[in-house]
Amino acid sequence: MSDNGQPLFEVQNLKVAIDGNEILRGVDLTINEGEVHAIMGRNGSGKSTMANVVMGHPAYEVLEGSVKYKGEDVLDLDTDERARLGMFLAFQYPMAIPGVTVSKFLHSALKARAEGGDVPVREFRVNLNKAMDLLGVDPSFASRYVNDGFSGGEKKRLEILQMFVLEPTLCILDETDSGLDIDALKTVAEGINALRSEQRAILLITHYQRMLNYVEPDVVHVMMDGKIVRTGGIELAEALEEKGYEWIEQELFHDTDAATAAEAAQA
Amino acid sequence: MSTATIGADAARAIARAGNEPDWLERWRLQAWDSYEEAPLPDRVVHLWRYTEPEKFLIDKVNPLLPDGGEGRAVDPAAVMALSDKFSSEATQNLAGLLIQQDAQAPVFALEDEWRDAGVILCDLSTAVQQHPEIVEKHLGKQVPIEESKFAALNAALFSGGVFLYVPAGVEIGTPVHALYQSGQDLAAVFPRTLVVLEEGASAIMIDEYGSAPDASTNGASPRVIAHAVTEASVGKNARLQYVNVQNWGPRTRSHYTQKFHLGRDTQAVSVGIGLGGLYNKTDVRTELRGANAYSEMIGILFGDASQHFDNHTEQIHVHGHTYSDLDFKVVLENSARSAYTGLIRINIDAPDSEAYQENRNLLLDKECRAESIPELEILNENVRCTHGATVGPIDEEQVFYLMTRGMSRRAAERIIVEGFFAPVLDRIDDKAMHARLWDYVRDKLQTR
Repeated sequence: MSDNGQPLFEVQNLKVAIDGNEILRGVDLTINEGEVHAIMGRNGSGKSTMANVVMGHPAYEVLEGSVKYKGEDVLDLDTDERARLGMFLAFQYPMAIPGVTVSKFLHSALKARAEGGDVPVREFRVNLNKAMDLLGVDPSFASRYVNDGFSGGEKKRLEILQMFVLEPTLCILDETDSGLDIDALKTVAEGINALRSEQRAILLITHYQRMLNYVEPDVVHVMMDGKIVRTGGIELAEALEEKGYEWIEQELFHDTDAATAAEAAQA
Repeated sequence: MSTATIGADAARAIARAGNEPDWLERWRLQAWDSYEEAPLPDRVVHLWRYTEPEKFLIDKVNPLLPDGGEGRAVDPAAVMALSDKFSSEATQNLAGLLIQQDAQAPVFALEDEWRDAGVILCDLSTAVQQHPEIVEKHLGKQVPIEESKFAALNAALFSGGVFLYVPAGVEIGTPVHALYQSGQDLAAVFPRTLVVLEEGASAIMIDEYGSAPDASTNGASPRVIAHAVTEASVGKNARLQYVNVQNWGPRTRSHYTQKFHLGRDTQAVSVGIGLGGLYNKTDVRTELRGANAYSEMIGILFGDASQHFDNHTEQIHVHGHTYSDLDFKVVLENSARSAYTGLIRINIDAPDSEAYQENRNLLLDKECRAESIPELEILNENVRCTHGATVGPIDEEQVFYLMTRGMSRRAAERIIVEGFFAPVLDRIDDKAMHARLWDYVRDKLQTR
């Protein structure tokens, strides 16, 4: 629970469309401080849409529902306002910002979050160096242009680095494990584990169980066709790894059958 | 009196005030005749498709005449102090500095070390007195009277000006800075720079044009028509970095011609910074005339309000085994306009040459417009050549990415524009100029 007794992050009946196609069809999700959740699902199930909508991507149209952060509905807030409240999205495909160094980018982001307050350069450098050290990133990283010519692994590391420096309270990681070799995956996972804390919530979006061997979630959700269809513990992820998504599809099919049968019986 | 008489008289008066040799006075008068006789450039010819040549005629303004004083060499400390008048940044680590206000005689200073090494920095009037043979050999050779109607006008009426000569083997590691500032209202001004690098020499030269209101305008920026010319001859194995900063006031119309001649084994980096002026046309050409000549032409242009820019570049490969690379970055806001045409020509007897050209345009508002037109004349097949152009708004996905980090839309746009310009601006070695250019750019961005 956050200070005001509300869950840190709460999504209710969220329905979202892009170009007129409904992608999210009533998502419900509650995450409390200190928890790590994972949303698993196949490509096209709506996971990334959810991550982008939560941060206010302009391409999506919210049809219905709410997204609350510390009890406040954020759907009317601009993306930067959401970020300044403490929400963060690690991108599946981070954007290159040519000509802007990692250092300048992070300093500018901190300044924006300080809302006119000062961010002493010296202190910033110390923090940045510490974070780079922790993530095993070469110091020259700071003077490279943001994601410009970065390898897949470097891009994902920069996303994690940003969380260390910006210290958000809600971290949503969209497919941070995709495209990483096993060593890079381990480094990134270590970074995520180091970010776990009582005050912070982490939402991992992935379609492989692989990542969850290194970052163990408290709660696992399965998303399918724009809805969360199953919620459980790590055993849910393990079952998926073993049996694949068809297994849930079949169960759902039976559920539907059962429901239809029940309705029929009632009628 | 007719303009013709005014012009010829002015050319004569300038020649007399500078006690110029006969050849120069004759050249000026011939230039004036040529200006008078040449028809206005044909708008059908692509070079003038985007800009009205009438706007650069000087019949409604007054060509400024020199005050009769002579260019003065002063103590470096004194001229450095003087430069504070033009710049809030301390001007440090310069090899030399020259300042000219309107048509007044310039003041200039050169560090002893370079003077002793044979480097010459002074105004062209002084140069033609003290080093007539060098000036006669090079003046008007890259930009002759025949170059264009407006190049002829500059030849007729320039006064003061900048002359930088670096003798063989002398490498100046720190920049030479020349500032030209206009103040007088309803004036026509004619800055002219001549750079000569002999074999194995190297130099960094920054030419800066600006305007400051004076008493005649009640604090408003002066109404000026500026015709500027730079010519550079870069000798065998010499290296030149030349930075031209166009920061004229908002009521100036400017026409600028720049021509470089690169000899064998030379390296030239030409940096163009376009910020000021109301209505501007710029014509920049580099000719690669010796094997292994290497040319980079990089530039930024940042237009706002209703500024008009027309930039034309030429990469001319006369000799084989030559390399040229051009990178021109344009940002426009409000209802600013930019037209860019860039010619790459590789002559038939210039094999094994490489030429690259890239022009990118970022449009920050709906009302601004940019054109980008590459022109290739590749007469030899054994070459490498690419060109690319983009025109469009800022990528919304970049903006979203930055906003998810807490930056406002404006802050995101600002940092993207800064990043867009950075690779060019960060090439400028002079720290004070580097900082000042970033200030100019950020000032423009702040108004968003």
